[in-house]
Amino acid sequence: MQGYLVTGDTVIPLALEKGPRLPDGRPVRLEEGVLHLGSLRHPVLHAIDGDTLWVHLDGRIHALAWHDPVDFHEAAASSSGDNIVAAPMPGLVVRLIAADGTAVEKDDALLVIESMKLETTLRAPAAGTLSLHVAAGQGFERGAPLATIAPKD
Amino acid sequence: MRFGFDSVLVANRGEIAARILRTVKAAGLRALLVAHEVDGETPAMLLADDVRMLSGETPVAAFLDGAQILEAAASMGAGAVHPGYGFLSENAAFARAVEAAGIVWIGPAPETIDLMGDKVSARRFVADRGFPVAPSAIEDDDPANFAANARLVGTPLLIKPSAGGGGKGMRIVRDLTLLEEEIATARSEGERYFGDGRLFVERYIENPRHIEVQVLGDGQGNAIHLFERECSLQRRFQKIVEEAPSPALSEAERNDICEAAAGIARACAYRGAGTVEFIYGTGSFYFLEMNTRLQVEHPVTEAITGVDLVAQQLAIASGSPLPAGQDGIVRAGHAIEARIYAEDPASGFAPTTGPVLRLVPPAGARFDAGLLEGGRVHASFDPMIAKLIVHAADREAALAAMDDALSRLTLLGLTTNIGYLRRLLADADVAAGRMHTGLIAEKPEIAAAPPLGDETRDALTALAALVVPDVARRLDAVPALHAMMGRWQN
Amino acid sequence: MRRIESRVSTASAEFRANSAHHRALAGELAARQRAAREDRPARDRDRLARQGKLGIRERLAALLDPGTPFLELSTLAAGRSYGGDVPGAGQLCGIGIVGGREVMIRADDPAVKGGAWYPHSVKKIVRALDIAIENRLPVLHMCDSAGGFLPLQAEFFPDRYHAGRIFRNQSILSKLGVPQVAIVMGHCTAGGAYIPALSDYSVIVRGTGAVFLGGPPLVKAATGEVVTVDELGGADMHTSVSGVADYPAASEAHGIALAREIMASLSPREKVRIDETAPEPPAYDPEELYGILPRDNRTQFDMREVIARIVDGSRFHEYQPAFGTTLICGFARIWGYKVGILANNGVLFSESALKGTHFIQLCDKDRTPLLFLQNITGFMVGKEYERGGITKDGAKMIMAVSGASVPKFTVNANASYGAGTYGMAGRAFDSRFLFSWPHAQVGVMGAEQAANVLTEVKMRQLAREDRTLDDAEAAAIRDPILAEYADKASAWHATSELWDDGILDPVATRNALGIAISAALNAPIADPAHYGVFRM
Repeated sequence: MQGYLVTGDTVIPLALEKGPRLPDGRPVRLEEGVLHLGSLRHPVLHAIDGDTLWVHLDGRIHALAWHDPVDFHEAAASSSGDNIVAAPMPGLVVRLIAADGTAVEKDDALLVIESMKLETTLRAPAAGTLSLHVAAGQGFERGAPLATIAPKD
Repeated sequence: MRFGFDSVLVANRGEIAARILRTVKAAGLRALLVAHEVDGETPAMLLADDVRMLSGETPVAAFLDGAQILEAAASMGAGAVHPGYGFLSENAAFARAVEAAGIVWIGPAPETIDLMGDKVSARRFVADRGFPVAPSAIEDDDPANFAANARLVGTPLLIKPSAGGGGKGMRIVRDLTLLEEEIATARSEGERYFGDGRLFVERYIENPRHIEVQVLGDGQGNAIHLFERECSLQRRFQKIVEEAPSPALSEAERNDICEAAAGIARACAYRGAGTVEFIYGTGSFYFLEMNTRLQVEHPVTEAITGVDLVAQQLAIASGSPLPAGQDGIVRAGHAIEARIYAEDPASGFAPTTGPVLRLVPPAGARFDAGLLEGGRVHASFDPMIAKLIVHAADREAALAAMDDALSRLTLLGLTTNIGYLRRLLADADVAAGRMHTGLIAEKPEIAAAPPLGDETRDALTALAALVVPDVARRLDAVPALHAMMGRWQN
Repeated sequence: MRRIESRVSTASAEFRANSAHHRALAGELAARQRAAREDRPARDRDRLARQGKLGIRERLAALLDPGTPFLELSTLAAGRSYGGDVPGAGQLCGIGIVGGREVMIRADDPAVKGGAWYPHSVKKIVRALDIAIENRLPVLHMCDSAGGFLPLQAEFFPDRYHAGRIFRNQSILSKLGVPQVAIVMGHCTAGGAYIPALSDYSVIVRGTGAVFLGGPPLVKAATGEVVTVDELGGADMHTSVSGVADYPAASEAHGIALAREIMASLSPREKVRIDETAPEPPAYDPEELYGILPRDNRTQFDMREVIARIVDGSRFHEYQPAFGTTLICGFARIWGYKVGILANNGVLFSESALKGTHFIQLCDKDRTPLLFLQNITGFMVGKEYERGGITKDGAKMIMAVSGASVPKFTVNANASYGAGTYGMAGRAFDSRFLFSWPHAQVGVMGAEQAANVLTEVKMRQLAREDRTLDDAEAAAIRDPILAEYADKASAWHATSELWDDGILDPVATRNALGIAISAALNAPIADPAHYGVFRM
């Protein structure tokens, strides 16, 4: 399958067939601003911004985020539990970037660690509320939990 | 038409700057503009004959920097300054500075701005001349007993900052045991927003309707009204939909309210375009405040009267008489304006930003916008990005025309309240004209978009297959033979 | 190629009787397959649901590209063993499209005895991997097995083509550069642990997936160490500490999405190009096959009529139409691919054997895959024929079948007996795929013939003692033989024993062959063979 379209709380799985065809078999095509679904015609305007598809269809505007299937399932599963940021190797905390207790987004920089003369920035594996378990200057072993991201409610 | 100046600098931005410049150019005058780089290219810039860029600690600060704006006016040789609405439009000091520089101020006399800008003094002025005001307690009159006097006004009451306006800093009190606490909070908010913690308290009308009247005065003591507008559809004191005329008023009531407004304008020898706001509740109305500037929702008045209010501002500022006597102002039909906000109704109306990927206004409606396709909506300014106005023979036809126009308005790239507006106007109470300023707060469910029907889901799925490269690529990967055979299993 | 002119009368009583008979058989096949695929004890379904596991059919549906076909192999394996309690031998195997790639999917069914490996399960897995090797098909394993069924270990462990062959085949696949992706969705214990370990890419589902040579009970018994399933072999340990698995998955859906992504990102391999045009459906309705096939396997029918309902446009270019007429040879297209067809219209004579041998060599030189439509009781017997050298002519045909480089496909369309089976590319002769029709028979000879032979032997024996066979004694000899053959020569038995790769509804044969031919072209075709010595 080709991913998921997410708009608001609605998730639309994309299980189209080559053609392209809808799962019910109807062939589809887009010609000069008109979307043809089998014999039905829908005037449509659209624009794409990265992974977001904006559509004006039948008098209603939709913003659809396309999600890769792997990303979608990974996010679905990780949103149901805490994400622990563990130390990839033994080392030292150089400095903290994000503040304890704040909301972070996926990939936000959290802290910088140093090991074997290399500095690495550790990033949030998912969005949520950050709990830091270390302070600047603190040493740690491999696998030590440096921070936890609790999922947003 | 002879004007007292050959050029007008619009000290504003967004949709109103473009709207004003359109009339300036139509009048054969040179169109001048100040702008901030964060706005990029805008409709106003496309209309302007000359532009100066403003800078400031924030983009808002830039438009509040009177000295910088005057400098720009001087460098462009501006003959007049039109302040639009918001920003410095009701700043008497700025108005004085403009006049002192020998530039015509498109607006009322600075003294009028002072008078009406102070809510307490405005209220006193109006009450003294016999116009209706709500029972109240004014702190300045008796600071020591303010709380006690406030208590006497009775509940429900509204605490308002004297220096405030535009709905900010107001607090409704229904339970007198909370009165002192609410006074304290209102005071600190007044200090924070307006630099002035003085308050006054007014009786609050439950389920009030917000009725305002457009007036024009020639500065010589003559004034006419151009009928009323109803702006009861508000969220947190921000207007969302306005219409003219109000479906609530009988002809007699209309006459009373509009004549009161004109009378107030005459009483202060008002010069230019202004709006008198009233609070209305079944059969009675009270003066709320007077706005000494052009208002956002002026287009609905222009639609039903056929009068270009900006053109009138330019004319009056040049010393011309009023366009007609009161009998010469005739209304026809019904007009509705919907404010398009860059906000997400599904996330508590949080402001949104984003690129304007597609912008296609609906033909047959008036669309005043501050953005261009290819531009970007950013967080620096107010989230109102455009206004959609329709005019039809009656209210029912206007509602239908507005729904149709909203359905045909294409704005892609950021979330707006367009869908919300359609649902709001389809609400039974709104459709029946049973509106009041608390209606939107009572109907939070309108914010939720209805679920997608099956055909819509199919259409969106189909479109994704055709235009989202990641989807199309995955489909293309299927070998031809297997695609032909389809979903077969032995 | 010219269209075959059908001479069958679809209105005749014979046709209608055949049709009813074979439609019913097709219905029986569908019912048995449905039951084998879907009927599972409630207790096992509930256990899966409690564990948060998807059923095998749901896993398959999530894995396959939407709108694509799936050719399932050996659905009814082990159908007549283990009291019928191990449907499909607890394995799902088949060819489908995953991420745009043709792959062999091979999955343990945890709802069948916990996915345990019975002797037939091992045979089915080995066969699936043999097909993958021969056709260079990437393999996608879905591992979820309780391990070998120990009470029967002597039947699936020690021998050359027993369980060890699974891991040998995996190693050979890897050596050939054919990728394998494993999704560990349950336990992979002992031998089973090697499946993900020998796969190029492995995904392991957190919480349910585990890989270990010995599970916690065995570890405790062996060394006294107490350890949990997760600590011993769970997703996080193997993907971050031991390196036995590559990708941790948060859920089965995540794991399947990852496997699809892995498959899609493998470099595509160039397939072999053979003569191919745009496909065209047969000009005759394939459902007419039901009316053409006989109700009794001994009744003759014209294979041309069968060919006409399988090939594109019903077009067929017949080779040597006037010679060796008991073997039809010729070219046709199936789903656009040109194939050389050998089909029986009677017993094999010297002429037909020679014609077949020659035709196989033509196809080999022409790089045209071979399709064998079997309806063969054997070679002709008798003095004239032996003197004519029929044995050596049959040997030549067997030599050609064995040595051909092009892919071979076999369908038992009615009967497959004796040496005729050999010449017509039976199971031992390395067809890429071999299918049976529901009514088909396979055996050393037909039931009647075997009964006659044994009766004849008994009569001679009695004659030496000056006795004759009375009716009761004759029946005592005939009846058990007929019953034995009815039992073991049937397609249901053959497919249960994995002597074929599945029973096909005759109408489904065209699509199955299209998928099979396409799959076969993933492997290179060697240069036309140097055959062994043809006894001239």
